[in-house]
Amino acid sequence: MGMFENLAGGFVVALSASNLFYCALGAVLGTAIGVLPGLGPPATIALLLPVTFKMEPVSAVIMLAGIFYGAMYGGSTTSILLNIPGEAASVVTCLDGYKMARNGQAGKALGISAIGSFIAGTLGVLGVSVMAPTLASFALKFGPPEYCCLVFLGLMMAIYLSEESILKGLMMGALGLLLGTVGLDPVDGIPRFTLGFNRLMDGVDFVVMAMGLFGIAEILCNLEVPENREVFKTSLKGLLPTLQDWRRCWAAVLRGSFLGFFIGVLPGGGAIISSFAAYAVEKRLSRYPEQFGKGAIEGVAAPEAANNAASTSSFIPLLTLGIPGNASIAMIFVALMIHGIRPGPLLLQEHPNLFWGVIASMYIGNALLLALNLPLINFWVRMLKVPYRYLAVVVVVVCVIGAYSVNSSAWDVGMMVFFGILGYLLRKFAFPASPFILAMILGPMLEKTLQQSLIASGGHFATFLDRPISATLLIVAGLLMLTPLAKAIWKKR
Amino acid sequence: MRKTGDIVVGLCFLAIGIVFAVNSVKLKIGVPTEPQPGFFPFIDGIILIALSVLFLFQAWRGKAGESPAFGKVGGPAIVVLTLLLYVATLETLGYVVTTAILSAVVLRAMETKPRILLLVSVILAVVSYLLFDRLLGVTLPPGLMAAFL
Repeated sequence: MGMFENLAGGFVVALSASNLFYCALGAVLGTAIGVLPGLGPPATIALLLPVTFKMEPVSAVIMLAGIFYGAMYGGSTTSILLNIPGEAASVVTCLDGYKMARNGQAGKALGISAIGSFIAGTLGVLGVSVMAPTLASFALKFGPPEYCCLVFLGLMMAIYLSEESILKGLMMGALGLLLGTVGLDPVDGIPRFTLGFNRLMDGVDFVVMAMGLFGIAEILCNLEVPENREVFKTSLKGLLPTLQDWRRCWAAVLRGSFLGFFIGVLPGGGAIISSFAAYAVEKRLSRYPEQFGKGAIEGVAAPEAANNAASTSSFIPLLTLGIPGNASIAMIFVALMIHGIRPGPLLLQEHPNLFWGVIASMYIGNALLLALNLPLINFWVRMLKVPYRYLAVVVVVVCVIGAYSVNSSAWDVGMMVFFGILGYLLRKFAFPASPFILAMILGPMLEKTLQQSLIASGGHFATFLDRPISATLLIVAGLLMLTPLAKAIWKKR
Repeated sequence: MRKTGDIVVGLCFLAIGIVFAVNSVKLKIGVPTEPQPGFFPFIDGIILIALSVLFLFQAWRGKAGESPAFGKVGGPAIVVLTLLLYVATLETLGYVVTTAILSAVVLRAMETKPRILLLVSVILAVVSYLLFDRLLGVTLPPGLMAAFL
């Protein structure tokens, strides 16, 4: 079957009434939390995980994916109007977006970021439909040693790219791997590190942990800072860019899309780095670099395109290799696992409807977002006037209910509070949470493939270097770890 | 400059690494040809110990990055305390009562006026109970309110 037939099948799935509803719901929710500062996509997806227990797996992923890319649309609105990033990937949009708003061009800035996001999102989805099947069939040839190295490289990349301090990232990764071993040993079924609690036999519940680590921790952090929000009062006229704006922007949008797409595929790459990279590239290529930071329209268009393309392409490692590259995608991984679906190279063969249905829903979602966002922009702006405390208190209550609903017991609420406190302290000491989550999720797979490879090779660690693919993966991982060291030595000389 | 906070954090990580490594030995590590359940966590534990020592070394020499900027910690502290009490009393006092108190504390920590605070927390607790317990079929503990709900 060709790609187009597959995609057509996907559209049949995505266009069913219920899936269309979940796609729209996800996109709208995503925009809302993107607009509102103080609640990010991973937290929102974690909060909604218990809701997806009873849904069809396809619908669940369609909705959760919608939240993720919808947030990229919404985030720019707050950056432009408030000079506060609605979510992390829109930080760089503040630079020129807010300046444009001050110059009376708020409408134009909002318009170009929505249209740029749409173009990038659509291109990104096209890229996913072309690249994902190829990568999946390639990954099918992987044996345990290749898989082991791939997971290892994925973790290393996520650590290397996500934060400034690699040491802290590595520590969080190691901690995540250790917590991932709590529960029954995947090979022999012997309980490990359960401290005698029967409740820990199945390991630490991901849903409960994620709600604590993202939901509760986020609220606790925000409790420290007094609320201060001022919406920039301006008329939102002229949302559509003029022909002249287009002439300045189209290349920036395309460059941003491509850059974002390729950075987004890398674990840990994601939307934040890609938006910064796109901004830097535009500034360097521009004929008027002096306008950047003073309201250059390319400075809004390119990063917004990049973060959208990146959020789309970060589904590639999840759907083809079973490796989540960032915290939001990790939550979608958890949603799939709850439904007994193991993401990986076999996903495309075993669940073609899910695979293509999700991809098709992303086309639809992007179109919906464009249609929703431009006319509704005044509505989103008005939503910003609702004080944060009401959002915060609802988040706390939803977290509590969600955790309780997992097993109908206060134990899980307690676990969530524990992870909430942990997440709060880790944030305070600038320890990144995402390597921890990724390591915890990937730990069992790493352990299993490591043991299988060692047993098959008669206990030789050299087996990883004997096979070309695994050797390459390991060498790349090694080089990544050595770069900061090399940099440090270089600086000293 | 030495970073006391970072040193404490580093010691915590170190302790976790040691606890896991020691308990892995109890689970039996085995040999690479025949790995036992303790094999993987043991390697991990050792790695975490090594990383923590490196981190402690950096913190000692004052190189471990910025120290944390705690804002007003009163808010988070009181909410954490209330959350712990919430967990302890949820099943006896019931969802509605405990949730109303929890919401009130969160709202108070965010400087809400008392009258609005009472109204919002009571409404939130009751409405969320009706929505999730009655409509969506999540069983929440009724506790004290069993007779009314």
